[in-house]
Amino acid sequence: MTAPHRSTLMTGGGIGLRATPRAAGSVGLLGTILAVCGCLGFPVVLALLSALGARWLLQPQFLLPMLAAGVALGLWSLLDDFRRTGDPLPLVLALVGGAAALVTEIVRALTHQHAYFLGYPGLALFVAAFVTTLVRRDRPAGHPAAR
Amino acid sequence: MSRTETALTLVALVAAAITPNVFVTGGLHLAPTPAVARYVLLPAVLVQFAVLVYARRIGCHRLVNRLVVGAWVGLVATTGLDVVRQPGTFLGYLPHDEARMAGEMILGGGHHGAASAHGVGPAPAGTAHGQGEPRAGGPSGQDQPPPRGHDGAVGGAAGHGVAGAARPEHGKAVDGHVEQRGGAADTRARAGEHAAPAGPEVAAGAGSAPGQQDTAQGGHRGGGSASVPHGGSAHRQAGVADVIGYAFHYWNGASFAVIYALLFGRTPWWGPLLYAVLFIESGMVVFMRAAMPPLTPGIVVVSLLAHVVYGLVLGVLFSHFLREEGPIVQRVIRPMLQEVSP
Repeated sequence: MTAPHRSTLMTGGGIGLRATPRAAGSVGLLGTILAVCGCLGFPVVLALLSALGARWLLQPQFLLPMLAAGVALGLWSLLDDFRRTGDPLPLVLALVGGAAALVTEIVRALTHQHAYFLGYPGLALFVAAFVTTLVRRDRPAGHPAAR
Repeated sequence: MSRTETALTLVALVAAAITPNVFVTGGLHLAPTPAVARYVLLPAVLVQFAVLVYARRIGCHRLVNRLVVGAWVGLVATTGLDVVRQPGTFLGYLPHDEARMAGEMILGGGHHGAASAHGVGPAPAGTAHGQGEPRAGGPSGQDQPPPRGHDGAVGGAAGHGVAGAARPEHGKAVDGHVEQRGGAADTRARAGEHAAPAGPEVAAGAGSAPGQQDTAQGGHRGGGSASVPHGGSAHRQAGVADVIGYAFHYWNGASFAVIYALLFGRTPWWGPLLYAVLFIESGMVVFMRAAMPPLTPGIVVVSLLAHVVYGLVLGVLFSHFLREEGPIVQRVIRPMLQEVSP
Protein backbone atom coordinates (compact mmCIF):
# COMPACT_ATOMS: atom_id res chain seq x y z
CA MET A 1 0.00 0.00 0.00
CA THR A 2 1.65 3.18 -1.10
CA ALA A 3 1.03 6.59 0.37
CA PRO A 4 -1.24 8.83 -1.65
CA HIS A 5 0.59 11.06 -4.07
CA ARG A 6 0.67 14.60 -2.76
CA SER A 7 1.85 17.89 -4.11
CA THR A 8 2.39 21.14 -2.31
CA LEU A 9 0.31 23.93 -3.72
CA MET A 10 1.49 26.63 -1.39
CA THR A 11 3.56 26.79 1.77
CA GLY A 12 4.18 29.56 4.25
CA GLY A 13 5.44 29.88 7.80
CA GLY A 14 5.70 26.18 8.20
CA ILE A 15 2.04 25.66 7.43
CA GLY A 16 1.51 23.94 4.12
CA LEU A 17 -1.68 23.84 2.11
CA ARG A 18 -1.59 20.47 0.48
CA ALA A 19 -3.92 18.96 -2.01
CA THR A 20 -4.02 15.65 -3.75
CA PRO A 21 -4.35 15.75 -7.51
CA ARG A 22 -7.43 13.57 -7.13
CA ALA A 23 -9.15 16.14 -4.93
CA ALA A 24 -8.05 18.89 -7.28
CA GLY A 25 -9.49 16.90 -10.15
CA SER A 26 -12.84 16.59 -8.41
CA VAL A 27 -12.95 20.31 -7.70
CA GLY A 28 -11.87 21.09 -11.25
CA LEU A 29 -14.47 18.79 -12.75
CA LEU A 30 -17.26 20.24 -10.64
CA GLY A 31 -16.18 23.80 -11.34
CA THR A 32 -15.94 23.14 -15.05
CA ILE A 33 -19.36 21.51 -15.21
CA LEU A 34 -20.97 24.42 -13.36
CA ALA A 35 -19.14 27.02 -15.42
CA VAL A 36 -20.00 25.44 -18.76
CA CYS A 37 -23.62 24.91 -17.73
CA GLY A 38 -23.77 28.57 -16.72
CA CYS A 39 -22.11 29.61 -19.94
CA LEU A 40 -24.58 27.62 -22.03
CA GLY A 41 -27.52 28.87 -20.00
CA PHE A 42 -28.71 25.69 -18.31
CA PRO A 43 -32.02 26.62 -16.65
CA VAL A 44 -31.18 24.76 -13.43
CA VAL A 45 -27.92 26.61 -12.98
CA LEU A 46 -29.47 29.94 -13.89
CA ALA A 47 -32.32 29.39 -11.43
CA LEU A 48 -29.95 28.27 -8.69
CA LEU A 49 -27.67 31.25 -9.09
CA SER A 50 -30.63 33.61 -9.28
CA ALA A 51 -32.06 32.17 -6.09
CA LEU A 52 -28.72 32.65 -4.37
CA GLY A 53 -28.46 36.18 -5.71
CA ALA A 54 -25.29 35.26 -7.52
CA ARG A 55 -26.31 35.61 -11.12
CA TRP A 56 -23.52 38.11 -11.59
CA LEU A 57 -21.20 35.09 -11.57
CA LEU A 58 -22.38 34.37 -15.11
CA GLN A 59 -20.69 37.47 -16.43
CA PRO A 60 -17.68 36.54 -18.54
CA GLN A 61 -15.21 38.40 -16.31
CA PHE A 62 -16.08 35.99 -13.49
CA LEU A 63 -17.04 32.90 -15.43
CA LEU A 64 -13.98 32.77 -17.66
CA PRO A 65 -11.39 32.70 -14.84
CA MET A 66 -13.55 30.22 -12.95
CA LEU A 67 -13.73 27.97 -15.97
CA ALA A 68 -10.01 28.34 -16.66
CA ALA A 69 -9.22 27.42 -13.06
CA GLY A 70 -11.54 24.40 -13.21
CA VAL A 71 -10.01 23.17 -16.44
CA ALA A 72 -6.49 23.75 -15.12
CA LEU A 73 -7.17 21.82 -11.92
CA GLY A 74 -8.72 18.98 -13.90
CA LEU A 75 -5.78 18.85 -16.30
CA TRP A 76 -3.30 18.91 -13.44
CA SER A 77 -5.02 15.94 -11.88
CA LEU A 78 -5.10 14.02 -15.15
CA LEU A 79 -1.49 14.91 -15.92
CA ASP A 80 -0.56 13.33 -12.63
CA ASP A 81 -2.55 10.26 -13.61
CA PHE A 82 -0.83 10.14 -16.98
CA ARG A 83 2.61 10.26 -15.36
CA ARG A 84 1.73 7.28 -13.22
CA THR A 85 -0.17 5.16 -15.73
CA GLY A 86 1.18 6.26 -19.11
CA ASP A 87 -2.36 6.20 -20.47
CA PRO A 88 -2.85 9.32 -22.59
CA LEU A 89 -6.59 8.92 -23.22
CA PRO A 90 -8.01 10.86 -20.24
CA LEU A 91 -5.50 13.64 -20.69
CA VAL A 92 -6.21 14.02 -24.42
CA LEU A 93 -9.96 13.92 -23.83
CA ALA A 94 -9.68 16.56 -21.12
CA LEU A 95 -7.37 18.72 -23.22
CA VAL A 96 -9.78 18.73 -26.15
CA GLY A 97 -12.85 19.07 -23.94
CA GLY A 98 -11.33 21.78 -21.76
CA ALA A 99 -10.19 23.74 -24.80
CA ALA A 100 -13.68 23.44 -26.29
CA ALA A 101 -15.26 24.65 -23.03
CA LEU A 102 -12.90 27.61 -22.77
CA VAL A 103 -13.40 28.57 -26.40
CA THR A 104 -17.17 28.40 -25.93
CA GLU A 105 -16.95 30.92 -23.10
CA ILE A 106 -14.48 33.12 -24.98
CA VAL A 107 -16.83 33.16 -27.97
CA ARG A 108 -19.69 34.15 -25.68
CA ALA A 109 -17.61 36.92 -24.14
CA LEU A 110 -16.56 38.29 -27.51
CA THR A 111 -19.69 37.87 -29.58
CA HIS A 112 -22.59 37.24 -27.15
CA GLN A 113 -23.34 34.08 -29.07
CA HIS A 114 -23.61 30.60 -27.66
CA ALA A 115 -21.52 27.95 -29.35
CA TYR A 116 -23.76 25.12 -28.22
CA PHE A 117 -22.32 22.60 -30.63
CA LEU A 118 -18.87 23.20 -29.20
CA GLY A 119 -19.83 23.55 -25.55
CA TYR A 120 -21.82 20.35 -25.25
CA PRO A 121 -19.26 18.03 -26.87
CA GLY A 122 -16.50 19.79 -24.94
CA LEU A 123 -18.22 19.26 -21.61
CA ALA A 124 -18.99 15.66 -22.56
CA LEU A 125 -15.33 14.98 -23.35
CA PHE A 126 -14.15 16.63 -20.14
CA VAL A 127 -16.51 14.51 -18.08
CA ALA A 128 -15.61 11.44 -20.14
CA ALA A 129 -11.95 11.99 -19.29
CA PHE A 130 -12.66 11.58 -15.59
CA VAL A 131 -15.04 8.69 -16.12
CA THR A 132 -12.34 6.97 -18.17
CA THR A 133 -9.86 7.53 -15.38
CA LEU A 134 -12.20 5.94 -12.87
CA VAL A 135 -12.96 2.99 -15.12
CA ARG A 136 -9.36 2.27 -16.04
CA ARG A 137 -7.78 3.12 -12.69
CA ASP A 138 -8.00 -0.33 -11.20
CA ARG A 139 -6.94 -2.21 -14.29
CA PRO A 140 -3.52 -3.78 -14.11
CA ALA A 141 -0.91 -2.56 -16.56
CA GLY A 142 -1.07 -4.45 -19.83
CA HIS A 143 -4.73 -5.31 -19.43
CA PRO A 144 -6.07 -5.91 -22.94
CA ALA A 145 -9.10 -3.74 -22.32
CA ALA A 146 -6.85 -0.88 -21.37
CA ARG A 147 -5.72 -0.56 -24.95
CA MET B 1 -4.89 -10.95 -43.55
CA SER B 2 -7.54 -13.31 -44.83
CA ARG B 3 -9.43 -12.79 -48.04
CA THR B 4 -12.62 -12.15 -46.09
CA GLU B 5 -10.98 -9.47 -44.00
CA THR B 6 -9.58 -7.82 -47.10
CA ALA B 7 -13.01 -7.81 -48.73
CA LEU B 8 -14.68 -6.43 -45.62
CA THR B 9 -12.00 -3.77 -45.31
CA LEU B 10 -12.62 -2.67 -48.88
CA VAL B 11 -16.38 -2.53 -48.34
CA ALA B 12 -15.92 -0.49 -45.16
CA LEU B 13 -13.49 1.81 -46.96
CA VAL B 14 -15.93 2.52 -49.76
CA ALA B 15 -18.77 3.07 -47.29
CA ALA B 16 -16.65 5.45 -45.21
CA ALA B 17 -15.51 7.37 -48.29
CA ILE B 18 -19.10 8.13 -49.26
CA THR B 19 -19.68 10.53 -46.36
CA PRO B 20 -17.20 13.25 -47.35
CA ASN B 21 -18.19 12.90 -50.97
CA VAL B 22 -21.81 13.73 -50.18
CA PHE B 23 -20.66 17.22 -49.27
CA VAL B 24 -18.47 17.45 -52.37
CA THR B 25 -21.17 16.35 -54.80
CA GLY B 26 -23.65 18.69 -53.17
CA GLY B 27 -21.30 21.67 -53.11
CA LEU B 28 -20.36 21.20 -56.75
CA HIS B 29 -23.99 20.58 -57.77
CA LEU B 30 -23.18 17.20 -59.19
CA ALA B 31 -26.19 15.62 -57.52
CA PRO B 32 -29.06 16.75 -55.32
CA THR B 33 -27.86 16.36 -51.74
CA PRO B 34 -31.18 15.32 -50.14
CA ALA B 35 -31.48 12.39 -52.52
CA VAL B 36 -27.81 11.45 -52.15
CA ALA B 37 -28.13 11.60 -48.38
CA ARG B 38 -31.22 9.44 -48.36
CA TYR B 39 -30.32 6.86 -50.96
CA VAL B 40 -26.53 6.70 -50.70
CA LEU B 41 -25.31 8.08 -47.38
CA LEU B 42 -27.77 6.33 -45.10
CA PRO B 43 -27.24 2.92 -46.74
CA ALA B 44 -23.49 3.49 -46.54
CA VAL B 45 -23.74 4.16 -42.81
CA LEU B 46 -25.79 0.99 -42.40
CA VAL B 47 -23.22 -0.96 -44.42
CA GLN B 48 -20.47 0.27 -42.10
CA PHE B 49 -22.38 -0.94 -39.07
CA ALA B 50 -23.14 -4.22 -40.81
CA VAL B 51 -19.46 -4.75 -41.60
CA LEU B 52 -18.60 -4.02 -37.98
CA VAL B 53 -21.13 -6.50 -36.67
CA TYR B 54 -20.13 -9.20 -39.17
CA ALA B 55 -16.43 -8.68 -38.54
CA ARG B 56 -16.97 -9.03 -34.83
CA ARG B 57 -19.00 -12.16 -35.41
CA ILE B 58 -16.38 -13.91 -37.53
CA GLY B 59 -13.54 -12.78 -35.30
CA CYS B 60 -11.77 -10.15 -37.45
CA HIS B 61 -10.46 -8.39 -34.37
CA ARG B 62 -8.06 -6.20 -36.28
CA LEU B 63 -10.81 -4.83 -38.52
CA VAL B 64 -13.14 -4.34 -35.56
CA ASN B 65 -10.38 -2.49 -33.72
CA ARG B 66 -9.84 -0.18 -36.69
CA LEU B 67 -13.52 0.56 -37.21
CA VAL B 68 -14.28 1.20 -33.55
CA VAL B 69 -11.14 3.15 -32.71
CA GLY B 70 -11.35 5.05 -35.98
CA ALA B 71 -14.91 6.12 -35.22
CA TRP B 72 -14.52 7.31 -31.64
CA VAL B 73 -11.13 8.88 -32.16
CA GLY B 74 -12.58 10.66 -35.19
CA LEU B 75 -15.38 12.06 -33.05
CA VAL B 76 -12.94 13.33 -30.44
CA ALA B 77 -10.68 14.80 -33.12
CA THR B 78 -13.64 16.54 -34.74
CA THR B 79 -14.34 18.30 -31.45
CA GLY B 80 -10.69 19.36 -31.49
CA LEU B 81 -11.14 20.64 -35.03
CA ASP B 82 -14.18 22.62 -33.92
CA VAL B 83 -12.17 24.29 -31.17
CA VAL B 84 -10.51 26.21 -33.99
CA ARG B 85 -13.23 26.17 -36.64
CA GLN B 86 -16.15 27.49 -34.61
CA PRO B 87 -14.39 30.59 -33.25
CA GLY B 88 -13.24 31.17 -36.82
CA THR B 89 -16.87 31.13 -37.91
CA PHE B 90 -18.14 33.25 -35.03
CA LEU B 91 -15.40 35.82 -35.44
CA GLY B 92 -15.94 36.07 -39.16
CA TYR B 93 -12.84 34.42 -40.58
CA LEU B 94 -14.91 31.68 -42.14
CA PRO B 95 -17.87 32.84 -44.18
CA HIS B 96 -19.92 29.71 -43.59
CA ASP B 97 -20.64 27.35 -40.78
CA GLU B 98 -20.00 24.25 -42.83
CA ALA B 99 -21.85 21.99 -40.43
CA ARG B 100 -25.00 24.05 -40.68
CA MET B 101 -24.52 24.35 -44.41
CA ALA B 102 -24.39 20.58 -44.65
CA GLY B 103 -27.63 20.36 -42.67
CA GLU B 104 -29.30 22.80 -45.00
CA MET B 105 -28.04 20.92 -48.01
CA ILE B 106 -29.28 17.60 -46.66
CA LEU B 107 -32.68 19.03 -45.82
CA GLY B 108 -32.98 20.65 -49.19
CA GLY B 109 -33.71 24.19 -50.31
CA GLY B 110 -36.93 24.64 -48.39
CA HIS B 111 -35.05 24.63 -45.15
CA HIS B 112 -32.28 26.97 -46.05
CA GLY B 113 -33.87 30.13 -44.89
CA ALA B 114 -35.01 28.89 -41.59
CA ALA B 115 -31.82 27.12 -40.87
CA SER B 116 -29.59 30.00 -41.63
CA ALA B 117 -31.66 32.42 -39.70
CA HIS B 118 -30.92 30.51 -36.58
CA GLY B 119 -27.38 30.10 -37.26
CA VAL B 120 -23.88 30.87 -36.46
CA GLY B 121 -22.19 32.96 -38.99
CA PRO B 122 -23.45 34.03 -42.26
CA ALA B 123 -25.42 31.56 -44.18
CA PRO B 124 -24.45 30.40 -47.55
CA ALA B 125 -25.52 32.55 -50.32
CA GLY B 126 -28.14 31.20 -52.53
CA THR B 127 -28.13 29.23 -55.61
CA ALA B 128 -29.96 29.78 -58.77
CA HIS B 129 -30.34 26.25 -59.76
CA GLY B 130 -33.13 25.17 -57.57
CA GLN B 131 -31.38 22.23 -55.97
CA GLY B 132 -30.98 23.97 -52.76
CA GLU B 133 -27.24 23.73 -52.71
CA PRO B 134 -25.49 26.70 -51.23
CA ARG B 135 -23.20 28.41 -53.61
CA ALA B 136 -21.97 31.91 -53.51
CA GLY B 137 -23.05 34.18 -56.22
CA GLY B 138 -25.41 32.28 -58.39
CA PRO B 139 -25.23 32.57 -62.10
CA SER B 140 -27.96 35.11 -62.18
CA GLY B 141 -25.93 37.54 -60.23
CA GLN B 142 -28.94 38.26 -58.10
CA ASP B 143 -28.32 35.47 -55.78
CA GLN B 144 -26.37 37.55 -53.48
CA PRO B 145 -25.64 37.28 -49.86
CA PRO B 146 -27.86 37.54 -46.94
CA PRO B 147 -29.38 40.77 -45.85
CA ARG B 148 -28.09 42.12 -42.63
CA GLY B 149 -30.16 43.57 -39.88
CA HIS B 150 -29.13 46.69 -38.06
CA ASP B 151 -28.12 44.69 -35.09
CA GLY B 152 -25.53 42.94 -37.13
CA ALA B 153 -27.28 39.66 -37.32
CA VAL B 154 -26.86 38.06 -40.64
CA GLY B 155 -29.65 35.85 -41.51
CA GLY B 156 -29.31 34.02 -44.64
CA ALA B 157 -30.53 31.38 -46.86
CA ALA B 158 -29.82 29.78 -50.04
CA GLY B 159 -32.52 30.68 -52.40
CA HIS B 160 -34.83 27.93 -53.29
CA GLY B 161 -34.20 27.93 -56.92
CA VAL B 162 -34.93 31.51 -57.58
CA ALA B 163 -33.42 34.73 -56.59
CA GLY B 164 -35.73 36.49 -54.29
CA ALA B 165 -36.48 33.71 -51.94
CA ALA B 166 -37.26 34.99 -48.55
CA ARG B 167 -34.97 34.59 -45.64
CA PRO B 168 -35.81 35.11 -42.07
CA GLU B 169 -33.50 36.41 -39.47
CA HIS B 170 -33.90 37.03 -35.88
CA GLY B 171 -32.36 38.12 -32.68
CA LYS B 172 -33.04 36.19 -29.57
CA ALA B 173 -33.07 37.85 -26.22
CA VAL B 174 -30.76 36.10 -23.88
CA ASP B 175 -29.58 37.43 -20.57
CA GLY B 176 -30.77 40.88 -21.32
CA HIS B 177 -29.25 41.29 -24.68
CA VAL B 178 -30.04 40.17 -28.13
CA GLU B 179 -28.21 37.05 -28.98
CA GLN B 180 -27.13 37.84 -32.46
CA ARG B 181 -26.84 34.47 -33.95
CA GLY B 182 -25.48 34.54 -37.38
CA GLY B 183 -23.62 37.72 -36.70
CA ALA B 184 -20.19 36.89 -37.93
CA ALA B 185 -18.65 39.22 -40.38
CA ASP B 186 -18.74 38.12 -43.93
CA THR B 187 -17.00 40.24 -46.41
CA ARG B 188 -18.52 38.30 -49.21
CA ALA B 189 -21.94 38.55 -47.72
CA ARG B 190 -21.69 42.26 -47.23
CA ALA B 191 -20.87 43.02 -50.80
CA GLY B 192 -23.97 43.83 -52.68
CA GLU B 193 -26.32 42.92 -49.91
CA HIS B 194 -29.70 44.42 -49.90
CA ALA B 195 -32.99 43.81 -48.28
CA ALA B 196 -36.03 44.52 -50.31
CA PRO B 197 -38.39 46.97 -48.72
CA ALA B 198 -41.40 44.77 -48.96
CA GLY B 199 -43.67 43.12 -46.49
CA PRO B 200 -44.07 43.33 -42.78
CA GLU B 201 -41.50 40.64 -42.25
CA VAL B 202 -38.87 42.73 -43.92
CA ALA B 203 -39.63 45.72 -41.83
CA ALA B 204 -39.20 43.71 -38.71
CA GLY B 205 -36.08 41.99 -39.92
CA ALA B 206 -34.14 44.93 -41.19
CA GLY B 207 -34.90 47.42 -38.56
CA SER B 208 -34.56 45.55 -35.38
CA ALA B 209 -32.53 46.94 -32.59
CA PRO B 210 -30.90 44.87 -29.91
CA GLY B 211 -33.27 43.85 -27.22
CA GLN B 212 -36.38 44.65 -29.15
CA GLN B 213 -37.18 41.41 -30.81
CA ASP B 214 -37.42 37.87 -29.80
CA THR B 215 -38.65 35.94 -32.75
CA ALA B 216 -37.81 35.43 -36.31
CA GLN B 217 -38.37 38.17 -38.73
CA GLY B 218 -38.07 37.98 -42.39
CA GLY B 219 -35.98 39.70 -44.93
CA HIS B 220 -36.57 39.58 -48.65
CA ARG B 221 -34.10 39.55 -51.40
CA GLY B 222 -34.97 40.92 -54.72
CA GLY B 223 -38.63 41.27 -53.99
CA GLY B 224 -39.27 37.56 -54.05
CA SER B 225 -42.51 36.17 -52.89
CA ALA B 226 -41.51 32.97 -51.19
CA SER B 227 -43.08 32.30 -47.87
CA VAL B 228 -41.27 33.09 -44.70
CA PRO B 229 -41.30 30.61 -41.88
CA HIS B 230 -42.68 32.38 -38.87
CA GLY B 231 -41.35 32.41 -35.35
CA GLY B 232 -41.38 28.97 -33.88
CA SER B 233 -41.44 27.26 -37.25
CA ALA B 234 -38.23 28.97 -38.30
CA HIS B 235 -36.63 28.09 -35.00
CA ARG B 236 -37.66 24.47 -35.30
CA GLN B 237 -36.42 24.16 -38.86
CA ALA B 238 -33.20 25.86 -37.91
CA GLY B 239 -32.76 23.50 -35.01
CA VAL B 240 -33.35 20.50 -37.22
CA ALA B 241 -30.82 21.74 -39.76
CA ASP B 242 -28.32 22.34 -36.98
CA VAL B 243 -28.74 18.91 -35.47
CA ILE B 244 -28.59 17.12 -38.82
CA GLY B 245 -25.71 19.26 -39.99
CA TYR B 246 -23.62 18.68 -36.89
CA ALA B 247 -24.44 14.99 -36.88
CA PHE B 248 -23.17 14.86 -40.46
CA HIS B 249 -20.13 16.97 -39.53
CA TYR B 250 -19.15 14.61 -36.73
CA TRP B 251 -19.83 11.52 -38.81
CA ASN B 252 -17.72 13.03 -41.56
CA GLY B 253 -14.83 13.51 -39.14
CA ALA B 254 -15.25 9.96 -37.93
CA SER B 255 -15.31 8.69 -41.51
CA PHE B 256 -12.01 10.37 -42.37
CA ALA B 257 -10.50 8.80 -39.28
CA VAL B 258 -11.91 5.37 -40.15
CA ILE B 259 -10.46 5.68 -43.66
CA TYR B 260 -7.01 6.37 -42.22
CA ALA B 261 -7.32 3.54 -39.72
CA LEU B 262 -8.37 1.08 -42.40
CA LEU B 263 -5.67 2.11 -44.83
CA PHE B 264 -2.69 2.51 -42.55
CA GLY B 265 -3.57 1.11 -39.15
CA ARG B 266 -1.12 1.97 -36.44
CA THR B 267 1.46 4.56 -37.45
CA PRO B 268 3.61 7.14 -35.69
CA TRP B 269 1.75 10.22 -34.45
CA TRP B 270 2.82 12.33 -37.39
CA GLY B 271 1.15 10.02 -39.91
CA PRO B 272 -2.40 11.24 -39.23
CA LEU B 273 -1.07 14.80 -39.01
CA LEU B 274 0.29 14.54 -42.55
CA TYR B 275 -2.96 12.90 -43.64
CA ALA B 276 -5.04 15.72 -42.17
CA VAL B 277 -2.91 18.48 -43.61
CA LEU B 278 -1.82 17.09 -46.97
CA PHE B 279 -4.94 15.13 -47.87
CA ILE B 280 -7.97 16.51 -46.05
CA GLU B 281 -6.95 20.15 -45.83
CA SER B 282 -5.61 20.43 -49.36
CA GLY B 283 -8.65 18.64 -50.70
CA MET B 284 -10.89 20.98 -48.79
CA VAL B 285 -9.10 24.05 -50.08
CA VAL B 286 -9.48 22.82 -53.65
CA PHE B 287 -13.15 22.05 -53.01
CA MET B 288 -13.85 25.40 -51.39
CA ARG B 289 -12.12 27.23 -54.19
CA ALA B 290 -14.32 25.47 -56.70
CA ALA B 291 -17.58 25.53 -54.80
CA MET B 292 -17.51 28.61 -52.59
CA PRO B 293 -15.19 31.26 -53.90
CA PRO B 294 -13.50 33.54 -52.99
CA LEU B 295 -10.91 31.76 -50.93
CA THR B 296 -9.46 34.25 -48.47
CA PRO B 297 -6.25 33.86 -46.43
CA GLY B 298 -8.37 33.80 -43.28
CA ILE B 299 -10.25 30.77 -44.50
CA VAL B 300 -7.06 28.94 -45.38
CA VAL B 301 -5.31 29.72 -42.08
CA VAL B 302 -8.27 28.82 -39.86
CA SER B 303 -8.97 25.69 -41.86
CA LEU B 304 -5.30 24.66 -41.76
CA LEU B 305 -5.05 25.18 -37.99
CA ALA B 306 -8.27 23.26 -37.46
CA HIS B 307 -6.96 20.32 -39.44
CA VAL B 308 -3.61 20.42 -37.65
CA VAL B 309 -5.46 20.00 -34.37
CA TYR B 310 -7.57 17.23 -35.91
CA GLY B 311 -4.46 15.44 -37.16
CA LEU B 312 -2.64 15.80 -33.85
CA VAL B 313 -5.51 14.34 -31.86
CA LEU B 314 -5.84 11.50 -34.37
CA GLY B 315 -2.09 10.90 -34.23
CA VAL B 316 -1.80 10.73 -30.48
CA LEU B 317 -4.81 8.47 -30.00
CA PHE B 318 -4.26 6.25 -33.05
CA SER B 319 -0.65 5.59 -32.12
CA HIS B 320 -1.88 4.35 -28.77
CA PHE B 321 -5.11 2.53 -29.54
CA LEU B 322 -4.75 0.99 -32.99
CA ARG B 323 -3.18 -2.41 -32.64
CA GLU B 324 -1.52 -3.23 -35.91
CA GLU B 325 -0.29 -1.68 -39.10
CA GLY B 326 -2.74 -1.50 -41.96
CA PRO B 327 -2.80 -3.58 -45.12
CA ILE B 328 -1.46 -0.77 -47.27
CA VAL B 329 1.62 -0.49 -45.08
CA GLN B 330 2.03 -4.23 -44.82
CA ARG B 331 1.39 -5.17 -48.41
CA VAL B 332 2.43 -2.19 -50.47
CA ILE B 333 4.62 0.34 -48.74
CA ARG B 334 6.91 -1.95 -46.77
CA PRO B 335 7.74 -4.25 -49.72
CA MET B 336 8.41 -1.18 -51.82
CA LEU B 337 10.74 0.22 -49.21
CA GLN B 338 12.48 -3.15 -48.91
CA GLU B 339 12.98 -3.29 -52.65
CA VAL B 340 14.39 0.21 -52.76
CA SER B 341 16.73 -0.22 -49.82
CA PRO B 342 20.02 -2.01 -50.60
